[in-house]
Amino acid sequence: MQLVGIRFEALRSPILASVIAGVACLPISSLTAQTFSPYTDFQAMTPADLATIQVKLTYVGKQRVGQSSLLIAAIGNDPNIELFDGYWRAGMNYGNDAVAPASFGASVNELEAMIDHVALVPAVTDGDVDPGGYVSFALLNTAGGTTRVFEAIVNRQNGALLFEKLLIALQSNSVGNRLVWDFGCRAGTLPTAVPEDLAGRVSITFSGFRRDPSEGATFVGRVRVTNTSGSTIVPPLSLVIARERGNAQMLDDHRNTCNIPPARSPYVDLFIGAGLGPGASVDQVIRFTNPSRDKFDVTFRAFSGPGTR
Amino acid sequence: MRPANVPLRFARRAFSACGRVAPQETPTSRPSALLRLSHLAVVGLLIAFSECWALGLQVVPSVGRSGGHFIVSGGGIASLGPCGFEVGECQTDGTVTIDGYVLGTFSYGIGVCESGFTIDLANVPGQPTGSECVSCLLSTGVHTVTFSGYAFCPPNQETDLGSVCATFEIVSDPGGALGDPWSLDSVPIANPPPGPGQKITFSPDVQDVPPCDSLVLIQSCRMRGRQTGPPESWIDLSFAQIGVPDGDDLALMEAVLTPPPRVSIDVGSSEEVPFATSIALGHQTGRKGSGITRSATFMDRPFWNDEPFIAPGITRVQFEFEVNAFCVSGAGQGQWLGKSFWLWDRTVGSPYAEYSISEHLPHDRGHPTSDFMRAITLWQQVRKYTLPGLPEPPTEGGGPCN
Repeated sequence: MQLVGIRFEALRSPILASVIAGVACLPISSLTAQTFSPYTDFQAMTPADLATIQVKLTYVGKQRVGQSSLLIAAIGNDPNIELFDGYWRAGMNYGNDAVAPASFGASVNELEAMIDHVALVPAVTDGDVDPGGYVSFALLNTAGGTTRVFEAIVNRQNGALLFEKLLIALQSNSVGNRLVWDFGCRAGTLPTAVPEDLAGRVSITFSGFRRDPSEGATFVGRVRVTNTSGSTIVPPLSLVIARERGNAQMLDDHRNTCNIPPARSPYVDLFIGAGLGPGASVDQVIRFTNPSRDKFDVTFRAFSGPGTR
Repeated sequence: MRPANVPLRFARRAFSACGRVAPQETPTSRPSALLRLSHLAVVGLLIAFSECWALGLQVVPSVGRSGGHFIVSGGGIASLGPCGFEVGECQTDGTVTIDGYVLGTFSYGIGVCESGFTIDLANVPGQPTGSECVSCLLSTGVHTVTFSGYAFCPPNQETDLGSVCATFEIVSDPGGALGDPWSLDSVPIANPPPGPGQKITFSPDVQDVPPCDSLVLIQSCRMRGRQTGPPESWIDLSFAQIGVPDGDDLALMEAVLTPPPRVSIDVGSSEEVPFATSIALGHQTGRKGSGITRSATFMDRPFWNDEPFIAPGITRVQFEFEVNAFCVSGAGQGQWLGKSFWLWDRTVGSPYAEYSISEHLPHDRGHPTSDFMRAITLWQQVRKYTLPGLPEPPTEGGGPCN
């Protein structure tokens, strides 16, 4: 397996960059090949080595509007996207790495788990460019004074396998898990399994909706989900708040849907322990901020079990 | 008609002080017509005892150019009882004038049972053809808006609710003395494919941009292709003809693309709002007010190779971008603050997705183009989103009329 990328000699020098812009593009002859490291190099790293590892997700595909890259570094290690400069494959779009990325910190244990979980996906660890690949997954470490870089460019299918592992490894890192989820959603690379739609199995009521007198633009209400079926609903039980009109935003900690319509609707997981038995109910207080005071309408849906919301 | 369970405390709070009052509170996001009437009914009863009324008036921005979008809004007209045309019901009325006799043709009547109004002086409804732009007709200097309210109740009770005044200033702008909030800068990017990105910035730190807590940029895109002839011609392209950005949903992207000329709001199919958000490159939400002035900005660099396909016969692709600044919240809420344009151009089959970006295209302080408005309207319909509208008419603001 040949792991070869293209390293551009011209990096972030403003003067040189201006020259580059002036001539529109570099001739290929000015590029030099850069060898990537195999994934096994990163699997062999010690916890001490992992303290300096960085993980980067970059959208490198077709785009009309740019999207920030996402950089993950060990807690205490400043993320530095410029270290990845030059580790570029021909024909790919690395323009999104030219601007400060989104980033978050992860523990060494989480980074180790990430490497171990991804190691189970040969389509990623082969370090190649998938047919139609458009998401770059890159690892970089400068431990020991040697820069090692791994990169795989995945397509939608293998991207789903990759992101499934990343999300598992980061399940206890709420900030990181959310950022990886959001990136994967925008890139269309989240796992595609869908949860069970509970329409017909539950009733959902919304009551007590009012403006919170203590906060000017905050509105609050209570949702009750009741299991009207004859069987237990398995966790996680997700309540989706679908916008029908307006521009109010949910205030409570939530995620946004990606795999079930309508996309980018906020949802929360309701606490039902081992399950919600027949006839049982669970309540959830939800709050919205609506500074514009425009009318807003929402509807509710419920989903349960495994699968991407 | 009059609901019995309207909480009196709302009205009491609103009219606790004669003169300036606090905004009325409502138990819903914006009071329905029914609720509004019920409020007015209760308010009317209180007025009968207190003989206090409070009209409010504001002009945003307070300084601007001739022809500028001055948003004039006033509120606080109170009915003296249940409002309507049935026997025993009351009516309200209001009038807005600018400089009194100076603009004799300008008199904006408020509908009966309305408690307030909002108008844009650049486009006032009901004016003679050619005179809709009232702010175009005003000379430089300070102008005074007067808002007067009246209430009528059977059998013959007519009550003058008084007047409130506010001023605004039209200044001459030779050489752009007010400042130009727009800047479009080509930013060199060395990352492959090397070439420029477009940094789009709207700096609200100029006099005639109103205060705004959240100022965003909304970009639309018209995709055009040069079709081989004979004769050669430019045609509008759909996503089905040149593909969608990787990861986007083709059906959703097509759903927000207008009929020709084909324009769509330039966000991915998974975005929940139509404007550039924190995920956009170099994004920053703008703000003006409370001692903080911050530009709204983002950077864009389209990348559009020939994969997986471009419709046969298309030799060149252009993306025509229009960017509009919009105030999401704050005193200037709901206002369009100006637009700018830029162009991305690529020859199909050129190596390494080579492209060019235009510079020095026009920008102004006007409203969005009709194409943009069609696109944003469609996006809102499909995605069930509503851009914030102009604020409720104020029940405070303004001052005594001299």
